[in-house]
Amino acid sequence: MSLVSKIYDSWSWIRKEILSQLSGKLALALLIVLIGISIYAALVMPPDYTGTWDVGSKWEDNPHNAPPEWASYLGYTCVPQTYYDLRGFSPALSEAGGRIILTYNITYNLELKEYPRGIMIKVNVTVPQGVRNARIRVDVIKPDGARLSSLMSEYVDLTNTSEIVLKLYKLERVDAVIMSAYRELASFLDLQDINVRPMVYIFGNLSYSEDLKSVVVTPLTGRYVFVIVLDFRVLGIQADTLLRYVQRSREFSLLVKGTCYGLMGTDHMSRDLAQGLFFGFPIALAIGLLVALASTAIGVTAGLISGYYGGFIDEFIQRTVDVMGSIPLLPILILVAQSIAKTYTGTDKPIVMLAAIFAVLIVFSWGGLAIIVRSMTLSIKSELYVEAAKAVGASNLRIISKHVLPQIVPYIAASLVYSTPTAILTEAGLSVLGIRHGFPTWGNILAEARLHGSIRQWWWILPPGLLIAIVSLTFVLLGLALEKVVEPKLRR
Amino acid sequence: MSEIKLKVTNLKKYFPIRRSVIDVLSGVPPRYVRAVDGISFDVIEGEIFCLVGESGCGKTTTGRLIARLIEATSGYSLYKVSRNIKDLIPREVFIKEDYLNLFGKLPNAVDKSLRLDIQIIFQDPYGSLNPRMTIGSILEEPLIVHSIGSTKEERQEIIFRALSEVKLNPPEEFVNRYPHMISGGQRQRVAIARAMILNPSLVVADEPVSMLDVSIRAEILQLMLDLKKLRNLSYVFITHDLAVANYICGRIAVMYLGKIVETGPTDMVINNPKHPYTIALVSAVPEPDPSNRLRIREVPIKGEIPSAAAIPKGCRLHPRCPYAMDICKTKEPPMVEVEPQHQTACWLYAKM
Ligand SMILES: Nc1ncnc2c1ncn2[C@@H]1O[C@H](COP(=O)(O)OP(=O)(O)OP(=O)(O)O)[C@@H](O)[C@H]1O
Ligand code: SF4
Ligand SMILES: [Mg+2]
Repeated sequence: MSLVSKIYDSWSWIRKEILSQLSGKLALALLIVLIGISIYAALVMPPDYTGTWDVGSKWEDNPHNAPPEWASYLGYTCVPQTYYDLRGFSPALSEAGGRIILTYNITYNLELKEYPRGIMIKVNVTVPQGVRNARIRVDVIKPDGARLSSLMSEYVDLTNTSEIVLKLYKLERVDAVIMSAYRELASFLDLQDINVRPMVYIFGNLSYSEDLKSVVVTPLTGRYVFVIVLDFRVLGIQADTLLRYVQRSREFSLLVKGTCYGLMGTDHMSRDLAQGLFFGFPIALAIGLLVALASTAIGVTAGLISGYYGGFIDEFIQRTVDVMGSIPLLPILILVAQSIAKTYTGTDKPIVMLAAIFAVLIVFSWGGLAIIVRSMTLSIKSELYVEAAKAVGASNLRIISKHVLPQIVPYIAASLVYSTPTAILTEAGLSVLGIRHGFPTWGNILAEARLHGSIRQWWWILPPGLLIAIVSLTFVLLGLALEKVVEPKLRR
Repeated sequence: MSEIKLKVTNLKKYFPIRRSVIDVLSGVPPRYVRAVDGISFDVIEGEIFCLVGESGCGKTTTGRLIARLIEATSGYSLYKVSRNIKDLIPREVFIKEDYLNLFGKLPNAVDKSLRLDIQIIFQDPYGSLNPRMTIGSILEEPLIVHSIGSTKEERQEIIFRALSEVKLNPPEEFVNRYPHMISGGQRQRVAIARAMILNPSLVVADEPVSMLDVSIRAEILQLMLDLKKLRNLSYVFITHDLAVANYICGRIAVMYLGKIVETGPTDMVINNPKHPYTIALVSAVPEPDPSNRLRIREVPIKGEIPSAAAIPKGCRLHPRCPYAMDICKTKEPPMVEVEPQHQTACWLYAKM
């Protein structure tokens, strides 16, 4: 019988045994789903994904700490994300004394009682020669009539360049802006609070509390007007020429950020958690399988050598396992990870840290399997049929591969399955202990939630936790099912 | 007169007893199980030479030493290699003519060639066949190891022939079965086929029928006799059953605690036993007549066989021997001839 058909035979036998159990069925179904998602995610994963996860500018269009969109069904008020491409709008033009002023009046309707999460204006335009400088200013006229003057502004010197690349989102001196818009309330306004939660004051209705001693803010629905003023100082340029340039800009937009985002919400850096979780599938599986394969391979090899050849090498391997077993793993992991975190400065630090963590994990996790494989090898080695094989002249290699290994294969499979979630869990556990490598794993997402989030941001904490639990559960269930397949063989 | 196939001289096998760390540190000397403790015998070409004795007397160990499955502690032998493998062995390995020493260190290539020439059949056909391999692949293993048959078909052909030789017909019905799918007798036939497939000239048979149902023992023994005639084999046949020995052995050696106590042609040893131990053994043989079997017969030997780790001084039998004398407790008896070809080691026959 050929090797292929033999492997196929034992596989179909194992599959039949697994499928005869409920836990086995569940595990296989989960496994197929996991592997399916992982393969798909790995195929569509941008090549630089792991490098850009931590880059803030990639995520700046998203609201931060936003719950998922479907949270509206849970009672969250989801103000939609509103985007205006200003290149298509016609501004009011005015020209006077070497200045050209373009004024855009953009209407924004806030319909839900919630504060939008931010305002972002992006400009990326080439202006003709002769524009000396430019100033961009944004006023907001609120439904209650208050005008927030110069909420944002920026000045660009164009003597040496003709490129304007701007992102306006900072609200400088917002406290002063609010104060001057609500003079009558000025003495009751909490300046600190304005600086911490500017959006509340920009999109809120300010009124006295009942005891007239403080100001209460409630969301203010209605029609907001964003007045965006582009003020150019020019030399010999026609207004409509300049307008054409502006209309042909690479980007000129206004974004009023909503309060909910995507399928899974965002974190403190506005990162799309759905992406992190999705691409976390292949990463988790790769990490788990890599560590499991490596430690299983080492354990099996060491156990076979130890049990089959005996003598000095056996003693050496067994004592090594004993020593390893008596060293506590967690402190070593923390030590190694911390020392790399402190000393290594390369850009690939996250990967290096992760690799070091797993190297330690592999080095410390093969011992148990080695002991089991050794004792199985010892008992198989003394079987009469092994002696018979020696009598016909079979080499040690042949005896190991034909008589010993096939019997421990089911056990190896079970061990592989059991040790797969170990790496995933350890990585997550270390993250929770505060060892952050920054590589976009589920554990890392959890770690950031621990550091920057709070329990209110359930969408940030629960999904990665659940996914880690589900993946572990899958392998543990599979291991349980396999164990029942392996166990009678072990007893034999 | 046939030539000698195998001459064994003073063969010993001591198994070390595992010592604890405390033993090692406190300088307790290493102890040994003296499983085979200096035995000598000849196997004539074409004969069936039998080793008999109680359980634990070292029969299997002797067989494994001859089949080169374990290394001898000491001992010397002259083994006449068959014509089949003579050309595979370099001249300098031979001691004289076609003879070489089985118990010395031999080059790997010679070791492998000798595996073609000396085979072993084990006692337990349930343990000697790998339960995960088909009969076909069990029989194919020796062929693959020795590169016999260049194609799968050629090897299949050889396997079919081997199976029909041991009367497992039709062979194609057996090749794809697993050991658990055939009976004990059929398993032992497969084990015999495996031993024969390499065309050996000396076969060690370690109690090949003792684990089989009584009803099929005769068939298997007959098969072994037929194969011997067909291929001009020599057997070293191990048994604790004197009835079997009487049936097939040419010459016989009785072992007790790692020593041969009596040896000679089978009918002489069994019909005219000299050594007190042999006498005891012979009288322990069940009578064919059922009415006699139930009679309590006088067995002139008392107590249990001592452990091979604590062998008594002097004659090993003396604690159990009804004839024990003073000298038996201190000096080992030498081997003496009691009639032509018939020798025994007992102070009753030796001159002091
Ligand atoms: N590998 C070994 N290690 C240690 N002691 C051994 C080993 N093999 C055999 N012995 C011991 O050597 C002695 C002889 O054993 P052996 O198997 O040769 O006896 P035997 O005559 O074949 O017995 P049986 O009729 O029960 O098969 C026994 O005391 C046994 O315990
Ligand atoms: S030597 Fe002495 S103890 Fe040994 S068998 Fe002969 S009589 Fe008995
Ligand atoms: Mg035996």
